[in-house]
Amino acid sequence: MSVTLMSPSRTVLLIGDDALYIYSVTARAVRFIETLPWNTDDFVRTVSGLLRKECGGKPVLILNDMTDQYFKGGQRLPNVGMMDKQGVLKRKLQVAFPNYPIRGALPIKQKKDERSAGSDKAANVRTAGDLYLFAGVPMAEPLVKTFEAVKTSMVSVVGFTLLPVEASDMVRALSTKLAGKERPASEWAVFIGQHQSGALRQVVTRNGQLAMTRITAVAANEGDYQAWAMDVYQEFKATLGYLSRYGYSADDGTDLMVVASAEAGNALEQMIDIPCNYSSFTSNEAARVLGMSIGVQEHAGYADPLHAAWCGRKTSFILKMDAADLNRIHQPRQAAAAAIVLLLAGTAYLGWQVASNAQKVLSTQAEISDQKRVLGQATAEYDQEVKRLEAMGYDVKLIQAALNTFNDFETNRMDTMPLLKKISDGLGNELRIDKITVKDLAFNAPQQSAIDLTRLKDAAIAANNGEDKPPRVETTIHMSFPQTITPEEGRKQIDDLERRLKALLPTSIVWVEKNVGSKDYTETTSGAAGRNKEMTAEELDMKAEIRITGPLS
Amino acid sequence: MIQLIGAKRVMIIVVLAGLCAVLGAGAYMYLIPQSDKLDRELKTVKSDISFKRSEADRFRQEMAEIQNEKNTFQSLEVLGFLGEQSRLAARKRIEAIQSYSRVLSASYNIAPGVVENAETATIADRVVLKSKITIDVEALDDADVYSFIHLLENAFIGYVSITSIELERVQDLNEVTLRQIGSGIPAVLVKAKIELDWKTLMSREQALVIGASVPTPGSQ
Repeated sequence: MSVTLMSPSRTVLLIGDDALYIYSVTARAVRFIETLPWNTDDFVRTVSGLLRKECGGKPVLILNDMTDQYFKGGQRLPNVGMMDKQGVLKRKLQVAFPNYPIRGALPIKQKKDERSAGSDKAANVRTAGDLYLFAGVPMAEPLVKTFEAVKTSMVSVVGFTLLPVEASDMVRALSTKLAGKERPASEWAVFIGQHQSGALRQVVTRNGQLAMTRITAVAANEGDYQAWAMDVYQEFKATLGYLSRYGYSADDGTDLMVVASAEAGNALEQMIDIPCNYSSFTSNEAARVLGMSIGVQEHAGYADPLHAAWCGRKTSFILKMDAADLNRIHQPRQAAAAAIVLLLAGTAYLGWQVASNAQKVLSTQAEISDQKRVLGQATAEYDQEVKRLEAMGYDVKLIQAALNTFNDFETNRMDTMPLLKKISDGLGNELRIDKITVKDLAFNAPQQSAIDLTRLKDAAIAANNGEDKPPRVETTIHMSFPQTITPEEGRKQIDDLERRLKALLPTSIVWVEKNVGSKDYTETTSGAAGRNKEMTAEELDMKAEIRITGPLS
Repeated sequence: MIQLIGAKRVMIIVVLAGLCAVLGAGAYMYLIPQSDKLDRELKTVKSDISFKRSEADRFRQEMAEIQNEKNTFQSLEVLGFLGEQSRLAARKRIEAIQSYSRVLSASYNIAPGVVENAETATIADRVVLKSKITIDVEALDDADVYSFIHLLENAFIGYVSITSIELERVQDLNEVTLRQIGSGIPAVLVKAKIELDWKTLMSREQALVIGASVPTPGSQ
């Protein structure tokens, strides 16, 4: 755990067998506030007052260091699904500690070789669920008093934890740091520290996980280092004795770390006669090894400020115990804190909304004011132009309407004179026509024709740059030839005229509807025979008809 | 619950909730609607500016165009394009054209006028008055007929749009006709039938006054 200025600032309530020890933990120091024996008069009010005033109402972490904490290791869960796991775990905890209302389960990391070995045991391990260390604490009077004090003080509760469990990672960190790069950290690490109460707390880890913990009393008087060392040595030997039941061997390698005054540490070192890596330091020195600062301590030989600092600055805990009584206090306050955070966030967001919208309103108002000034100028300019137009004395709309309508008429007008001029040019001086009709097909129906004009139409479209302009003007030319010429000569004249007209009117379709001497005249033939006859059959045969259809221009 | 949470926390929650409510109300019930309203006002003002400027620009452009088109418009006015269709004036004008073109005769028929909408004329609230005219012409020479048509297209009152021409040689120039001409008797060698639309622009009110049925704008 790295300790920074961002570490939380908390009050740590260290619950011992004899008294409650109150520490104020900040990022820089650990300040011992007060020791309150359990039989103190008006305990709850006193603690409550201290939490509010001396500790500044900081969130409280309850660290249980009492003798009455029970562990059950090697608790394996059946292999159940994720959804059922919590329920099964809760039930197993209840079965393990039916009379202890404060419970917790710590998952134990299993060695890979245990799972991968080919034995039947390994196979069972693979098929079974996770392994847990169960912990249970009875609801003793000190806890009831502490919870009541916390409830009365109105401070927030961070959680209820067990000192040996939360100290296990500190032991591992110390062991690793002391080993440095020269040697690997030993498999077993034993941390021994005496608390202000006089109790000696031993925390033993194996490969960084809590293996065992003991709390015993030390009878030696303060200043009698030899006696103290002898007591500690005896307890240490006893601990090793317990550990040997769980597979401890001196050959595995052991780190022994003791928090004590320099003199006491030296005295103990003289007595250690088993192979181990012995380290002794004061609580300040231990904190420095861990990269922490705990400030000046009155009794540097006690380990409880170190525990308070380590646990009080944690952002996450190894095992947060589930205490229903504490939850009843903790959860509403947590909900209130969450509500306050949410409301603060909401206030900040709405404040930002108000500020940004107010700024937008102000800037828009300023812009409207500017634009109104511009509008005033534009209106003046507009009025000036209107006056100028009025001064001219013309109705602009009328002029535009008249000119546009006139131009529209012109665009749709059949211009006969150029067409007649071209036909006249095509006729030349030799030929003359009997009758000519020119029709605007927008107002007159076209004449029927016996000729398929598709091919001729293609030529007209090509002459119109590929544009298929609808025919609007239809011209019919009727001609007749005297019988003094042969029909062949007449046909030649008509064919030549058709060619000339096609050249003169490239965008129009020109064709001979009836040629001289043609026998396929499709119109109804009518006339009179005898005295009243107007025209002879020969005269009739010398007539020809040419048609021209084309666009307006 | 208050005993568990504490009066201080409750007070903080109440104050923060109140502050949130005030800020929320201020933002969503006043500032944001006000901001939207001002945005709309700004858009309107900008739109007005844009309209006024574009109109002023258009007027300037129109003024330049009017200067150029003034003469054409005046010519149209003189031509009677913007007036009523007086039958008497039309008769006089046809007589004049007949005389100038030297056609022998020109008998005409002017149908009652009908009113039509023209999209280009609606901006000035004008309608087109159209009368169909049929003219039968007799002439000695087809060149006279062409001259008649040319004058009709260019010198008639208002606007003339020829829809059909039928020109026929009725007699050949021979000794008989030459003798007839020589003796001063007019010989009709060519006959023509000309159909045309006579169009003028008139105001909608004027059209109503003369009793023509006026279609509503957009209908034909």
